[in-house]
Amino acid sequence: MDNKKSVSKILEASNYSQLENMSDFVKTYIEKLVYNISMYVDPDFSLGSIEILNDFSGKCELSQAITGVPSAYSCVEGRDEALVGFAEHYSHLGITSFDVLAREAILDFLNLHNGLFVVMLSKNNICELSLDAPRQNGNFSLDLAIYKSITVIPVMFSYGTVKFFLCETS
Amino acid sequence: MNRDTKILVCDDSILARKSLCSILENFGYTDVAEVSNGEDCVNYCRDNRPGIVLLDIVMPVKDGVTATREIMEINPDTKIVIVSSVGTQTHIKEAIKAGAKDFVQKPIDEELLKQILENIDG
Repeated sequence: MDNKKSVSKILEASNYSQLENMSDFVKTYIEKLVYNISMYVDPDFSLGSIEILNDFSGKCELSQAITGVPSAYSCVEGRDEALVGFAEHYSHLGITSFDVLAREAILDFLNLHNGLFVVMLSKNNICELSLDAPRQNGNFSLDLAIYKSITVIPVMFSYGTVKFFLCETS
Repeated sequence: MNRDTKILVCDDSILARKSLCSILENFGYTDVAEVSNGEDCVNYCRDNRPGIVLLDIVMPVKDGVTATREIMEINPDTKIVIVSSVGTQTHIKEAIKAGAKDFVQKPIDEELLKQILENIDG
C-alpha cells in the first residue's frame, strides 16, 4: 500500500473527519503528522481519539514553537517505553532507554515534521512560517489562558501511545 | 570533489550531525568537524577556516542565517551549504542572500548533497 493510501486509511479509522471546531491549520498539521510518522518512523500505527483540551500537565516536555502568523506551540509526551520505541524506530540507533539520545531523536523528528509542515504551507502559498529551536523541559502544563486551542493527537503503536500536542497561539 | 577539504558540520541535533558526518565519510572526506550551534560555528570558522560548512538554520544561541553572514565577513571564500528542514522560499532566499551557496532540504537526499559538493568543491 502506498503511503498516501495508508495515511487516508489511518485518518478514516479515527475521529479526524468528525472533528468540529477545529481550524484548517490544525487539520493540515494532523494530516502531515500522520504522513510523516508513516514515512519516517513506523507505518504500523493508528490514531487514538483526537481531542480539544482545556488543559494538560505532563512530566517531560519535548517541544518546538512554530512562529509567524498563525503561530503555534508543538510538543510530544508519553510513557517512557512508548517514547523509547518511537525514538528507536525513527533513529535506528539502538535506543533502549529514555535517555539523552532518545530525547534528541524525538526532537529531531519534531523538527523534521514541523519543518516539512511549514514548507508545505509555504509551497501552497498559505503562509510563511518559521521555527524556533526544539527544546527539552521538565514538568509542563498547557492551558487555555495561554493558548487559543490545545489539540492532542494520540498516536498508538504496538509499544505504546505517543501524544502530540498542537497549541494555537494566534 | 577534493576529499582533503576541511568540512564543518553545524547542527543542534546529534542525530543530524551523526548522519551528515557519516555521509561525508562515505563520500571520502577525512577532515570533518562538528559543532552544535551558530556561535560555535562562527568561532570555529575564525580559528580553523574550513573550506565548506554544512549549516542548519534553526538552532539555539545563533541561527544559521546569522552565522552565515558572520562567516562571510570572516572568510568570504568559505562555501556554505544550508541543510535544514525549513526549506521555504523565504528561508532559502535569506540564506543565499547571506552568502550561502546552496540549500538542502531535510531529510537529506545523499545524491543531491554529493552533486552540490561536487559543484562547489570542484
